[in-house]
Amino acid sequence: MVMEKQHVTRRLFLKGMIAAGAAPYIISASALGAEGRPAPSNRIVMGFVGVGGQGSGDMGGFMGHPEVQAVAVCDVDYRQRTGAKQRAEQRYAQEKASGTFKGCDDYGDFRELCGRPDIDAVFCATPDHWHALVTCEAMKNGKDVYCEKPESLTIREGRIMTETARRYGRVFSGGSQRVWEDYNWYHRMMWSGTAGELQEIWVDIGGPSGEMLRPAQPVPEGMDWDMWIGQAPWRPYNKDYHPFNWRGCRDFSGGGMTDWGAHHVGGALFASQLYNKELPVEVIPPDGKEYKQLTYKYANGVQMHLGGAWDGPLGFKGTLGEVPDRKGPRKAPPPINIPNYKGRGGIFGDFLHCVKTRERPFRDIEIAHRTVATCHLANIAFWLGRAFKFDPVKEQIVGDEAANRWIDRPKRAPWSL
Amino acid sequence: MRIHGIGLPAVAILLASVTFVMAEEPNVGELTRELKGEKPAAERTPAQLDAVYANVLDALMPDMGNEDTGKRGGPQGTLEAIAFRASRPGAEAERAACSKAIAARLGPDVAPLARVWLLRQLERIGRAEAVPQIAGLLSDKDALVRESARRALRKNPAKEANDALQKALGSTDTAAWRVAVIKALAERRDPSNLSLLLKEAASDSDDVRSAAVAGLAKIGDKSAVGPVAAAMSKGSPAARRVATDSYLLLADALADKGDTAAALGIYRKMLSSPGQLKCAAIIGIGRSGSASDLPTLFDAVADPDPKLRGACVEAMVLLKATDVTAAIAAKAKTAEPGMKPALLQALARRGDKSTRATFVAAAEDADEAVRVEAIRGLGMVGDAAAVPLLLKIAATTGKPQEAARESLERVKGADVDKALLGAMDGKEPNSRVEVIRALSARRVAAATPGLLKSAEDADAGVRSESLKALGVVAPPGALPAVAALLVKTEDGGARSEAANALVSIAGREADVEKRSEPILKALESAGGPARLALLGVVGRLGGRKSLEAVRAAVKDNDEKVRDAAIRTLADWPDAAAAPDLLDIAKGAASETHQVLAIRGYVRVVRLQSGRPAAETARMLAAALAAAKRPDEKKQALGGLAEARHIGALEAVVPCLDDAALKEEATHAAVRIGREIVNDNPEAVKAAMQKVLEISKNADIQRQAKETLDRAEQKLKEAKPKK
Repeated sequence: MVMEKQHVTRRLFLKGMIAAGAAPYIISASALGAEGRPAPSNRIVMGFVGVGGQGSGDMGGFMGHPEVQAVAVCDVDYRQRTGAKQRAEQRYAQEKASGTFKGCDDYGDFRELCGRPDIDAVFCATPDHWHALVTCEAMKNGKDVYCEKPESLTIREGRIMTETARRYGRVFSGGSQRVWEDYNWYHRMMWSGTAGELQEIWVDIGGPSGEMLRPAQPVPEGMDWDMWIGQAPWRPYNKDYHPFNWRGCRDFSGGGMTDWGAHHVGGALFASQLYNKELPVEVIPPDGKEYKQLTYKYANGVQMHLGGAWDGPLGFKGTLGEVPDRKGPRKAPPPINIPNYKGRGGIFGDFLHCVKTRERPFRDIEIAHRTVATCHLANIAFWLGRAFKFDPVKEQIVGDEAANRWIDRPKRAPWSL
Repeated sequence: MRIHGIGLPAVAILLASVTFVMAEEPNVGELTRELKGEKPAAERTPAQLDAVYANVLDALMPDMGNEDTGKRGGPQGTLEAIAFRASRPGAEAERAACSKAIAARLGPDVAPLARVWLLRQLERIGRAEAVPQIAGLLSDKDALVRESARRALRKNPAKEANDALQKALGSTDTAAWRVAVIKALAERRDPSNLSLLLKEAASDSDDVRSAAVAGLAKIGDKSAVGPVAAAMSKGSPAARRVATDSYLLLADALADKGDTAAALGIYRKMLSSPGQLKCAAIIGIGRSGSASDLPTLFDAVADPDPKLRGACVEAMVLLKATDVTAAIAAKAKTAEPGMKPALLQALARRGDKSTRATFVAAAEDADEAVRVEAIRGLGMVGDAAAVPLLLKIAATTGKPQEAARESLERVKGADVDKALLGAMDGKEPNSRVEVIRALSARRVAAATPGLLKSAEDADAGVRSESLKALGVVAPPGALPAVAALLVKTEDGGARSEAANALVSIAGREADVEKRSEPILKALESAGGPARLALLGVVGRLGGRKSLEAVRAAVKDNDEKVRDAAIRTLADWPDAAAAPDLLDIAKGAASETHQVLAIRGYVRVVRLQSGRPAAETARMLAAALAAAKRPDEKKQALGGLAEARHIGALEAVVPCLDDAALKEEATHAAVRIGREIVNDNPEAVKAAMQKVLEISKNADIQRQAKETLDRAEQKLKEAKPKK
């Protein structure tokens, strides 16, 4: 049985490390073998933070990869974390029975999970306002990170997540599988030059979040509500926030703008090859006159509009025409090689491959940050109802001090990044 | 009107001015609309603005802190909109007036819920004018108010806000609040907080010390190096970890300020740390170090930990000194095989073309991992001279082949395309295939003449790859030649590939009619399978002339041509073929053709178009009438369901009585009914009643009931009132 063999191999490897006088602190990290190199173990030990809803499904997806070993789950909701623990233990029931798997531990505080030395990688699918705090804590503890989208609550958070990943040399994959998989046709059409020199982009997307007032309700048993609130200004529990419906609330999320924007804007930026370029230099909300939709202006003259796409969520116009062509059915895209996932098994496989090889994943945090920051800029323009200029190098709004305050938000004590 | 937190004389003056202004100002509702930007604002002096904001806020205050969220949501939302609007650039007087008015309402007799909301607005727009009132709340008995005040001052750019936080630090009553205030000061990154934070960094409380050292790292002053280092050996593991992270962050900040010596001192000290800390030290050395640090990196790159090796690659890429590249290249020649891939990766990412020879040599290495890295590297630092080697490897198998193909696509240089074009006549078919793949991947239009020639190569693989490549690179001018290839070939696979190439190439011609001209020309003289294939091509291209040609083919004497023409029409890209398809559906002798035609007709009518809904409904009703089998009638009903017009409903209603169509008809009736109920309540009411009679589907019943209710409501509204 594969799992058993992996355990034996790992144990032998640990023995070797200790004999060589290596510090056990880095056991699991060093146990990872890159392709083509002697690998005492090919197992990646993972901890999962935020295991309700999307997190629960993703955890199952990761556990479907044979090289993954889930050993810990964390959620502020007792019901969710015990359910996830049970699922992990069912998944590894045979190994547990044979004594090669000691069980999956559950935590209510992510810092305890992140502090475990045997964990190689941390998965994060908390509500959005927790992403930066959880993932930075994980990276500071030496973990690689896979974080669900939208990766940040503010532009500053995204930048700090990127800097932390770079400082510690960690692999950080964001979590939109749709960018490559769902919008592949657009990528192939655009990367093959069908539209010619790019002029305009249209992206259909959700709306911004806003204030979401709800009356106080009793906190469910087993729920650490203060921890759930985290960095956000405190408010009483209401079932409309948890589970799941927090996304419309500005204190916790950027709303449909960042939720779907992480996919659609990500797809648009990748198809147009703006994904690794600087953020826009100007953001203009709709004025009902010249600008029917929110419009971004890029330094190279390209404009991107939120809304107005046809025949799918994205639309592009260039010197040679439009993609998709409004006048006819979709054409088969030309054969073309586009750099995408490495490894096997979609975006999870890409991340796991990069954990082993130390390459940057398809949705590296820098790319994810630029995508979500683009959405944050739209939210700021919508909330304030005005256009502004943006310095993409400093990542600061220029000439509008009040708008610039939204680049970062003060965190509720004691939380900070 | 209640005004808090300001002196009595000021209140008197303000009251007087409000009274004065009130005499001339519009009512509060109009003023509110003005302040929200919903109507043009009048010109006002600062004093008048103060009065207007005070007036509007007073109107909003009564429910601002209401426990009932439904009641406080309105005033809170209005205040937010007003604050956002007031904070716009070029409206400083409005912002200040708004901020002052909000700050003046933070008194102790205002409900905490209201004060929290007011403070949130000040967090977003407040400056010096609001500091005294906010600072007064840093010692409020309500924890939420106190915390909101702290955050408001944290974001306030005025020096007075910083002063207030500094002052508050002196009177904190708990460690938790002390930590909170320190964090607010730290986030401001104000150098004037340095001495305070240095003092707090010596605290015996882990939490206080941790907050202070994290703040010192953010300010990034050299004087913090010693205190932060000292904190790394104090307190709990968590406190030590915060201090260590702060130490590294401080080094990064010092490096950003140009003090590389201080930064390197920290990074080198951290080299003896385990795991991610050593990785961070290595990367830091890469940011700030020089060639003299390479031995350290070379030692680390030999480590079995892939994370550390990855960090070394990053560091070697980051090192800026010019002599670094040559030193890494020299090391790559003599290093152990296990180290070489990382060294080559770093060298390639540095992008110095002078190191090409290193990669050429390593591409012959005995170790496959080394070879693969070298081949990848040639794609990044190689030039035309690397093309023969890459082509040779691309014609092999496995990972080296994959790497060589990637590199052939990626390698830059003015003569690379020329070198590939020159290699098109190579002897080995495998090599020729790789040349063609590379030219295609690089989109070399100049390869077109050569590809037209190689499309007739003796080797089937070369022919196939050439036709695919023509589809990618050839300009519209090549259409006659590619069409000729299609006509000439006797190979069915090649014919199909040529047809695909024609469609792709034609797509690069902007003029729809011009796209098909060369194909139509070839069609005139083509016979047999070629004629059928060309008919398929013109069908995929569309256009008026193409349609005429296919219409003619529908009447051809050859049964195979007629069949191909009808199939082509059924796949037509737009609704131009609709009349032809309907005619065929009604009159074709073959049932197969009838079915193909009616399906094609419904499909093209359902395509996005600018035609009126009435016309679409009429066309789909015609399809319903022409369709002979339930399957096609169901397709027509699917189309009618999307047509928002009474004509569509009228076509659907008779089908409700047809047992074979009942399910689709009820779906369609409900969907249409929902969309048109406002304009056609009578007809929709009758249709929904019928649906409710016959449908057993609970979801349909629910929707039909809702739509029926809506129709009855509309009819009720339409009746003249007595």
